[in-house]
Amino acid sequence: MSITTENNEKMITLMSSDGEEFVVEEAVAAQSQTIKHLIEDGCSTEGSIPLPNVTGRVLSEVIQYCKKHSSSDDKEEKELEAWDAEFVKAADDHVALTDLMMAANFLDIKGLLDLVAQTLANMITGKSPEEVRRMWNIKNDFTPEEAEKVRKENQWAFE
Amino acid sequence: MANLTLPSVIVEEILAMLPIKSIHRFRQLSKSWSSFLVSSEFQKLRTNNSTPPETNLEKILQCSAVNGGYVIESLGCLGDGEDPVRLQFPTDKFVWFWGSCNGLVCVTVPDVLIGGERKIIAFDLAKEKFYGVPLPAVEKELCDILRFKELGVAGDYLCLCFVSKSDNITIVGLMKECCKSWVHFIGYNSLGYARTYSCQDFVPQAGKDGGYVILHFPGGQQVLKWDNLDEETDESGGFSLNIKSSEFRMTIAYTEALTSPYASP
Repeated sequence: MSITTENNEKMITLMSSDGEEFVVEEAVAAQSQTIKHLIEDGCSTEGSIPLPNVTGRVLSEVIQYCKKHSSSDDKEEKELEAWDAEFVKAADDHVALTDLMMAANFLDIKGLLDLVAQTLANMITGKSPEEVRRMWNIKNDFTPEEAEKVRKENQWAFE
Repeated sequence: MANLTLPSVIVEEILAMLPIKSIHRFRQLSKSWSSFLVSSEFQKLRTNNSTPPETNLEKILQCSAVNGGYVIESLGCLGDGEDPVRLQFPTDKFVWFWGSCNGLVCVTVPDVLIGGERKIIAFDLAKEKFYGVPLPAVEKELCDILRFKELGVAGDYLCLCFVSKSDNITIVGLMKECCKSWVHFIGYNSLGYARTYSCQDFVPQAGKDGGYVILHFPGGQQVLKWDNLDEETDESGGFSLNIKSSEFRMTIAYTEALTSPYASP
């Protein structure tokens, strides 16, 4: 469904995996390369664009980001950076950030992907291997001997 | 990366943004992470993600004789008139600065043992901290016959030169980044000389797609070149080399402004 507002801004409807609909300006939605290509291919002219990989909660965050970044041309870079910092701070835990990152990846929004990746990277930088295993459910498949060898090889990284 | 609950593309994006030290620590996570973190695909990903390095890390280090021992001092940037800052260093022996590479200054000390092992020492300019770099793992048969000779920096490679005791084999080891394990050895057998000598000079240079070392021999010179090689970790076991004790040399290292090997061309 493609509707037009008073100031002639074309609107696009996005539908999340859990059936929630979001009506956004085309310029905002086109921050996502995935959606941009769908619009170019004429997929937005009838009904809404379904996004089967993104829940409503995550999609609303993504749209918040896209809105800010589509209207920020004339704004100061510093202000946008501060806004980004606040934005990822609000998502706070690594589960929410991981969801956000998966959505950014699927929707192909480079800026958001880099922002969240950097946030998660900062989060794990100082962590021990054991802590990171717990965070992402990674199975330690080293034998004790192998683990010791790898630890020894990379000893300096623990100092 | 099959055992991850995260799609691998996500994991890769995150890992590519980690500092080198964390990457090494996380080699312990699991086998698949470990092999991914040393793969050439991962190196490429890091290359694409790199941000330009800070350039305010130009520092001059000096080794000064004090009370029969030696201390290492940082003089800050050239010409900014700061007082020397004495750095915490694990020895009071004379040290030799070999060069800087990716923000790390490479230092050797004649007889310092770290964790019972002889190591090359890297100094992190940003953190003003020293790290022990394990000496390369070389096949056992070669251990006995090799002497550590020279160390240098060429582009993103840290280069190490060994010579055999009989001086007729020169081996050059390459490390993509300071503090990583040594990954490549180029063997050079100086056949063709009636009496063989080891190289006299060891001055690695960065080339367009790799680097080269010109080895000078009496009566001629040889050039060893390498490309930007795909990394493979040397799997042979640990061993220690005798670091040749340094003669007295001027010990000031002009540490270059940082240049990242990952900066976009």
